[in-house]
Amino acid sequence: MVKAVNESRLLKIIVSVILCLTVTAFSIMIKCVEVYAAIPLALPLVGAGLMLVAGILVMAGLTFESQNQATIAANQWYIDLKYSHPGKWGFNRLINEEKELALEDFENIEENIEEINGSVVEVTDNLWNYSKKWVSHYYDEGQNNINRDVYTVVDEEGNHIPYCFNHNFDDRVLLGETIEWMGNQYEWVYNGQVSVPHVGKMHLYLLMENGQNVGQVTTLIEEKPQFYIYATNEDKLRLGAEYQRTENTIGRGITNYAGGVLSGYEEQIQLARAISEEMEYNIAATGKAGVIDNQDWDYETVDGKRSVYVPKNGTMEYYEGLTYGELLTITDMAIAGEPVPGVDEEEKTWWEQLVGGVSAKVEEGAQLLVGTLADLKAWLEGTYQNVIGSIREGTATIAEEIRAQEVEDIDPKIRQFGVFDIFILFLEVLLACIRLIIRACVYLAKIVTIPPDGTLLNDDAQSGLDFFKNQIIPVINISVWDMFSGLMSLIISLAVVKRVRRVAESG
Amino acid sequence: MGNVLNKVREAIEALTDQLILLPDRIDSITFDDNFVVTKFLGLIHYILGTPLYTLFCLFLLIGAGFILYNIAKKIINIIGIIIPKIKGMFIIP
Repeated sequence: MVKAVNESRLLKIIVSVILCLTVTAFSIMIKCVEVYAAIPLALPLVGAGLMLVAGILVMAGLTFESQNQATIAANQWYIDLKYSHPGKWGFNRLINEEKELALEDFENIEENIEEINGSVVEVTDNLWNYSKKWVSHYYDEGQNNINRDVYTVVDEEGNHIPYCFNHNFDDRVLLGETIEWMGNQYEWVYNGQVSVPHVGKMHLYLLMENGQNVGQVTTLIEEKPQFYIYATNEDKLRLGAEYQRTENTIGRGITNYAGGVLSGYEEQIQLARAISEEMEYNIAATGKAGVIDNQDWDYETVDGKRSVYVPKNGTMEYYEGLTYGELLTITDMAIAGEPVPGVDEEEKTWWEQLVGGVSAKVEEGAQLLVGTLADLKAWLEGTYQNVIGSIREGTATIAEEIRAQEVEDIDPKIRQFGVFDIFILFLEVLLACIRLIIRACVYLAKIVTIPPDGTLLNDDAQSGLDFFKNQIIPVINISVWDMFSGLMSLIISLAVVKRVRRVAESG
Repeated sequence: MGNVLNKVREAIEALTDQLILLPDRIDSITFDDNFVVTKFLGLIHYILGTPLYTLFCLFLLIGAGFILYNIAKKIINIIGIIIPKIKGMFIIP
């Protein structure tokens, strides 16, 4: 009977432990879901290149409230630079000649990114001019909240294909006059002017597919059409084109080309759609008065150049709330060889100091021990090799040395400390331990009041978690998370009650 | 040999110094908002949500209470064995 009761208790304990582990395992599983959910938002610019761009944007007058905003803005900057067109006709005309030089400069720096990481990077005129115009175009003084809804899917080769969810003029991203789509090379070629009945002279542009003419458009404005990619309602990617028909009207669409819709990315697009509804995905930032929209704005570091500091082993978190004045000071400090606060020397917490101190002492002790053993070995070897006469002489010398050392070194210590002091010392340590235990107990009693804190997770993980928590089961209209939470609450409550009852009964 | 003894003396001195500093180091341990355990518990709170986190804390507190109860019981038993006269002064259920 007793054995059966014990087995039952053991079984209950095992079930309780499994339930607790289920919570932990489920939390880990959620983390995996977050990572998966973040895939469609994979962005082409990462690492030190990303931080360099963020630094340039800060120098151009932007202050980002979060690392997510800084990351998205820097990537948007890169997509606009790389694909030649930001989706705004006026801006494209403005910078069309400079952007290629800027892209060339940026790619040169990015190739040597390993060498520049952790140092000061000089910003070339082309890069600065492009960045300044990009910032001036998109941002105004004060708070900005600009939603571009640009996403990328990652193909089998790891290439990013930028796309938008619809062709709204404010949302879509134009990708330039040439594009590779489904293995074919597409290009717009100007074919002179043609006479159109009731309209007059118009500019004719031919759509070339691998060198073959497959379509055409006519416009009153002499400007080549631009390609863009968008997700259809069926979550497939499709190629489109846009052109300035007149000063005030924009034409859309191409139909006579071989490449159709691109399938295979439905899952990524669906997840991106779901996330876009849940999270703020914008390039918001605060524009500094007197810097934003000031075409003459420029800066100079202490060495007379235009440079920006890229933090060694830093993260985008570094750019949260960073103003151009602060970054300029930091860059000047880095140029002068001074340690940069927040990056080169971080304030250690007490446990880091404690661990550091203990490890240093352990290392010191180990070195001491090794040194002692080496001395001992050398002494033994020396003794072994000498003749008896030398041993006698050596022993006398050693004895004198020992006597001298003992008298010289240990005497003050003996006078300084007694046995009672050691007792007091251990008592102090014991009292400190008791104080620590009391503090720990008080802390334990207060853990219920600790507020939720997601700062240990990155922004993508937090967004993924929020997204997961808000998924509603359609029929019963309850979120998956609420259902799980309620179920686990019930089970743990029962486990707690059973545990208390068992203890009360056994007592 | 003199060097050996010197090294041993240095080691003892280092140990004594560490022992002198140890109470201050232990006292410097504080459980504030930046404490890594606080941040970790905050993360658990964020992931689990308030109802589950409250139950988790309840489970933790009850467990800690049982452990402290058992420890106190054993300590008093040990004291009772060492000093037989004290037995009967504390009634532990």
